[in-house]
Amino acid sequence: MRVDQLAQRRFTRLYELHYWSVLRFLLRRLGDEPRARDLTAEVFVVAWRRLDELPDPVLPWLYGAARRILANEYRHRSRQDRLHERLAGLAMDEREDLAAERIWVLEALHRLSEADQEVLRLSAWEDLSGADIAAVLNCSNSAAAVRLHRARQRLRMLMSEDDGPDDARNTEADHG
Amino acid sequence: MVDEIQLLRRVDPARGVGGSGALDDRARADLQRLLADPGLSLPTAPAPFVPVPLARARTVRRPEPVPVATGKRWSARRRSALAGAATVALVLAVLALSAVLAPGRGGPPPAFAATPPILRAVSTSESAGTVLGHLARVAAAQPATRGDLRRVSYEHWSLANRINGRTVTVAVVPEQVQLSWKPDGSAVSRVVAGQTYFPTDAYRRAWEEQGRPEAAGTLISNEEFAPGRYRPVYSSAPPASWIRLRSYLSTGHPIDSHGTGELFTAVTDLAREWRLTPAVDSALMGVLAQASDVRILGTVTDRAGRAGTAIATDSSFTGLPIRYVLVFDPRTGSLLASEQWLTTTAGALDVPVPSVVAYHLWR
Repeated sequence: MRVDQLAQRRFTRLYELHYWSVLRFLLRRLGDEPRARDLTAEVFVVAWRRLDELPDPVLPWLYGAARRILANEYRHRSRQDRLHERLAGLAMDEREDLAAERIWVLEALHRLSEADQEVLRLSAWEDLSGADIAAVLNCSNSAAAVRLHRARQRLRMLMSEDDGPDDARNTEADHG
Repeated sequence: MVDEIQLLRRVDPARGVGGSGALDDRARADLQRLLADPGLSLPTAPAPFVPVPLARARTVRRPEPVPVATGKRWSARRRSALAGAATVALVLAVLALSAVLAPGRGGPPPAFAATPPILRAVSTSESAGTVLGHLARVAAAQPATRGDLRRVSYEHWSLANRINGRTVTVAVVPEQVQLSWKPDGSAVSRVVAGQTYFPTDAYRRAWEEQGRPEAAGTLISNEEFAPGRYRPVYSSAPPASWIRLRSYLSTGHPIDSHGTGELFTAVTDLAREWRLTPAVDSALMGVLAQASDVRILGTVTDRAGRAGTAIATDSSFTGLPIRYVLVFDPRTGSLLASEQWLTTTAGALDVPVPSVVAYHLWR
């Protein structure tokens, strides 16, 4: 088998394993699936080009690439666009009780600094460990741990300012 | 008690996306396109940048120009208000992809695009604070600007410029932009090709063999935007207090998280749509003086032949090691030029170093 065929196989495997994770990462931050799809493709173009240099595990690296592409995307969007995206994210089709909880939690999240939001998203939504968060944010493990700890404290404080939906904080409801 | 991380998990906006784990049609199509023709075949061209880790710097010799295949399938989606380093990096990525993949795929040999010469700076011993303070005082002493502040003209070139759907790589073809816009969101924009520059005669010959594409004066675009259709990056006029200007510039440009390179980009974006008054020029010096990583390059002669004071900051935030440069008129404090230089090469990116990858010139 030729070297380029081997590379294609390896890349295809990587793509199949991580495509949805990267798309979800972008979707969570953009709220616009068509655009998130486009940017996901761009992340993998970069990965394809750097194939021989990708670290293991590769997922934090892919998230790091996605963050940079996203930062650029934001540069090309007006503040109004981004606000609109946020609001669109709040109006997802779902059960009413979940919608109330979503608004309560996400509004608190959006009141935090971007840095706090990002470390919380990486922990809760990308489900990353401290070391992987550090890899995405390009900081030390201890710095990532401190950032997460402080962001959690601040989010908790903001959520406590508003009690939120009746049962959101005290039940272990299975919402999937 | 449910903790905040669990609460966040329950409101994950992407919950359920890609649930089965198998690729869908779109994902498979993107993969096939990428493997078949990497770099040139994504469905949209929205100006991504390339997060390339900094690698050992190496200098490469500029070769004879070889025509580079253009990405015909990149769509022409383009924001009139913004260009920037990101777009530049996209082309660098495409060139690098061609270079990496060509040997195994029988494609064209790697080629370097034509780039303008680097400005030569005569250094000064004065500190950034002293120089910026002087520029602030000079600017503040200028008479008020007359005329429509939303009418701008400038020359722009970027390695990623696409003219009539293609990238001209055998010559530097700057764009002469004239833009006039109104608070109601209407605008008129006219872009013509500026004076062509060739790094060597070989580039000129290649350009002539290609039929002299986009010779000076060629109309590139002529657009009219109905009310509400033109959306400026900064819709309100820039404030003349440096504290408020810093905050204003941060709108849409995350300077705090991205660093001083982002500040330089913000200033460039602002001057693409607003004529800066002397009061704003003066306030801008205050903003720049607050950034600890701004340094004075010295005196330069800009691409229009004018003497200027150049300041710079280095950033690799976009993944490429870029030097952001602003040039000011020492007699008036007004912005003459903004440039971006690639200072080192990284990974598979075979471009000469240093290289100019974008510039703006205000007249």
